[in-house]
Amino acid sequence: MDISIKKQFISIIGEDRCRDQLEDLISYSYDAFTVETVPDLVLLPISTAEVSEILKVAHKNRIPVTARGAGSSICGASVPVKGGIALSMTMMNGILETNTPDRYCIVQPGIINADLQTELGKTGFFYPPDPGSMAFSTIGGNVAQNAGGPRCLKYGVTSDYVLGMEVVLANGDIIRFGSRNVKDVTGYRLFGLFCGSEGTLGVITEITLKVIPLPKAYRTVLAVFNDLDDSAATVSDIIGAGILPAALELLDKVLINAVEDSNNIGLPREAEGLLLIEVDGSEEQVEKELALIIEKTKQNNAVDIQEARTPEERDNLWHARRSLYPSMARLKPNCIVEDATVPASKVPEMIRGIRSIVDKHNLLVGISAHAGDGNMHPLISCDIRDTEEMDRVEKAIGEIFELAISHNGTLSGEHGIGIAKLEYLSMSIDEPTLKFMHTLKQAIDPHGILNPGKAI
Amino acid sequence: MSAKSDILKSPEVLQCSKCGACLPVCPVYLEKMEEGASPRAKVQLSKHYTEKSLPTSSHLSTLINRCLMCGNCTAACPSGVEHQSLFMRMRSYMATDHGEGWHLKVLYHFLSHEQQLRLASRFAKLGRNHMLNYLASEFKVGNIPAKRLPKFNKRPFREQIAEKIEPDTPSRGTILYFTGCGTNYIYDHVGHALCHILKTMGFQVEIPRSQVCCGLPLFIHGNLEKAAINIKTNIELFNRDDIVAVVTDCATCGSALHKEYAIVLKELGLSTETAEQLAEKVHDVGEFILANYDLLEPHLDPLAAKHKVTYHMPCHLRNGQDITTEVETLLNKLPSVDYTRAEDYDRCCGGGGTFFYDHPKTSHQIVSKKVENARATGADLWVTGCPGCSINLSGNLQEEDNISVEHILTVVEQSLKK
Repeated sequence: MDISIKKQFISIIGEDRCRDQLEDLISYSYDAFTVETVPDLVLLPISTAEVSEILKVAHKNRIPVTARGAGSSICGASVPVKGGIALSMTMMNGILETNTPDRYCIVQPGIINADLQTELGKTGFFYPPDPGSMAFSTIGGNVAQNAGGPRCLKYGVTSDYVLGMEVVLANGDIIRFGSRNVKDVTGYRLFGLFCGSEGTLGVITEITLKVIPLPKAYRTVLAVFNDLDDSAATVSDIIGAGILPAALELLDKVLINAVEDSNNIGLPREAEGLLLIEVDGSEEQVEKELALIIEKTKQNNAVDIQEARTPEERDNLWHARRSLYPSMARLKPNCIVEDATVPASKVPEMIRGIRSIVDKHNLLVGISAHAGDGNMHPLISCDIRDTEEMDRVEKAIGEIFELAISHNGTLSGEHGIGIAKLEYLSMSIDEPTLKFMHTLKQAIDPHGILNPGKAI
Repeated sequence: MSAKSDILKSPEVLQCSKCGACLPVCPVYLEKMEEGASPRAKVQLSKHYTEKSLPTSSHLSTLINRCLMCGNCTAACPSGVEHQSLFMRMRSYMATDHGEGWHLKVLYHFLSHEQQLRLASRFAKLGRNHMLNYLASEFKVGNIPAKRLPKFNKRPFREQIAEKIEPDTPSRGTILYFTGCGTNYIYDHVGHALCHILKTMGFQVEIPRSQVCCGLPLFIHGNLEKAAINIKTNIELFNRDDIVAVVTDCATCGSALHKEYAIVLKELGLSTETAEQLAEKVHDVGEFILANYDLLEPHLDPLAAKHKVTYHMPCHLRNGQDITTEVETLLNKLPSVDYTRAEDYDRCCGGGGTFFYDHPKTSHQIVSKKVENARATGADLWVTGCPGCSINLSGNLQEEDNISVEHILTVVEQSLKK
């Protein structure tokens, strides 16, 4: 980067929050995906005005800008693949307002999802989207990726909770859209555009989120099946009975055994599938639903059923689900998690299909799914230094995507495209639609400085 | 240890999946809010350094050393990265590449030579205890005003007390007491409280005379060879089969004896068998008293004067010894205690060995929040179980706070029948 341009950035933000030593640049060369590229400069803004001034200079000088929150994307969305500026939003991490009577809160993008939950919890409210990374990922990142999570089956995904946004465009213009109103049809629904835009359309500097009251009670059930079809039938019977669980998590045999190897919590190793089901609501409602769920699991030949009524028991049952990633990640140096998604009824076919693909390519893979919404999570243990193995991983992932598309599915349910799924995008989106997306991008960011090298 | 290494010597760097789970648990990251301060960045920089894609530099050394070694990252890591082993090794490489600060050289020298440490403590005592008032009010050691530093013991604790203390009642067996430098040179009243309590509970307390510094300050800075000499001495003295337990009143020493001795010896390619045997026997005194509460209960005074108490959990208890709820449980049982949990009771105090000295500003920011939250509880006693935390917490209180930082043992002793 030209020294005079660098000086302009320093004059906007001050030397204190500007990094250009190699050690610091390396610290912003990665997220949770495998690819790493070193940016030319790291800037840590603390205000919308600073972000705007930075983008004006970048726009004028055609400098790439890749915004990032916690850098926890598992599709490489925040890797600065074309160099330029890594724009870290971590210092803009305030909660500007919580207004529970009006059911909204206004936050800066760097606030960590879990920290927001803690704050909202004090007033008996919560913000439902709960990505696996919620303990460390930021709301800005969640919005940019339109993150999901187990609870989204019942409550919907990130974009269902965004009421308004402030965004800095590529040329430095600051735009604000939406409002504090749950009902608002004034103007284009622009947050639908910016949610999931992965930093390619603008830098999000403020977000107004809808919040809802915390449920009063939870009931959790762990059910074990000797046949995958039985577990799938249970899922459709539960939903068919008019129950919308807050979580419906499915684990396959390999995962059951991996969890058992590392935790020894007494799961039956010969079982084919394990369902973790959670309902929330009023005491009366969850008690009724619990009885019904147990009935449905029994009807579908569950071989073992455990139920939780207290927070401690609930925590014990969730332990199996929470230890999935650690159990697989410890087997080999790397663990790649894919998230192809299919209509819920196709889950058993997807699991068997994925199993046959990964067996063909001789890979170590455990399969889990948010079974209620068909969001598959194959966890692929591998070693990225082993190029021969990585070739097989690549092939398998491609075949899994083809399989998902053949079941009317989609490439990504909640992780995003980033660089991980870039080459497969045309499998999910046809030519005229891609062209329309390009047209939008071209109009908003004509020089292509925002997160270049990504989806659009 | 040579700075020339290859990736095979740092398997930890390959295990890191870069997920980011270590960010919000790292006290230093939470103050700095930039990636370079995070455990993840330290691991990735170590990877580049060991793969030789990043040359050594003083900036790298600063980033690697800006760490409290609290272990929160390891506890939160889903991939099982052993940060502590990696960071110890990296600190040692950095010391070889760039040398060590004079204060670390002095520290290493004294902590590995107990005789000289004893002598030095006398001079330090003269210096601290007779420091002119105006100097003490102006001068700061790291983030701590000199006037708020603790005074040294008149004589080291181990010289004040018999090597064996017999119990009040028929003996329930022998406890070996690892006193740690904190009690030996600064907080002798804690040592006396320990002996008083355990003797009341019916144990014989034996304090091996020739024990030495646990070595943790040496090995966390990467000085493994010097630490190994201390480690071997202590293992020989304390790994006995004829005892009930080894107890420590210092979370840091406890963590060294319980967990890190084996890690250091393994790092040096030595046998860890005796270290693992010793680890089985080591207990933090708070945890030990709770586990044997039935022996304490008859000696408690139900009418003991009440104190409003709050607690700071040392990182080395939770992350080094898996002790989480035990001390709070014990506090809640004691008749002299009216307990209120502080909002961030389990957050690191920012002391971190020499961190408060090396990074006074960051350390001060971390501890200031703890102080605010302790004030908010209205407590007059702030209980903890680590001399390092005690020095940092009390050093950052104000005169007008009227909060005194005390060891859990002091509170237990206050609850005993007179």
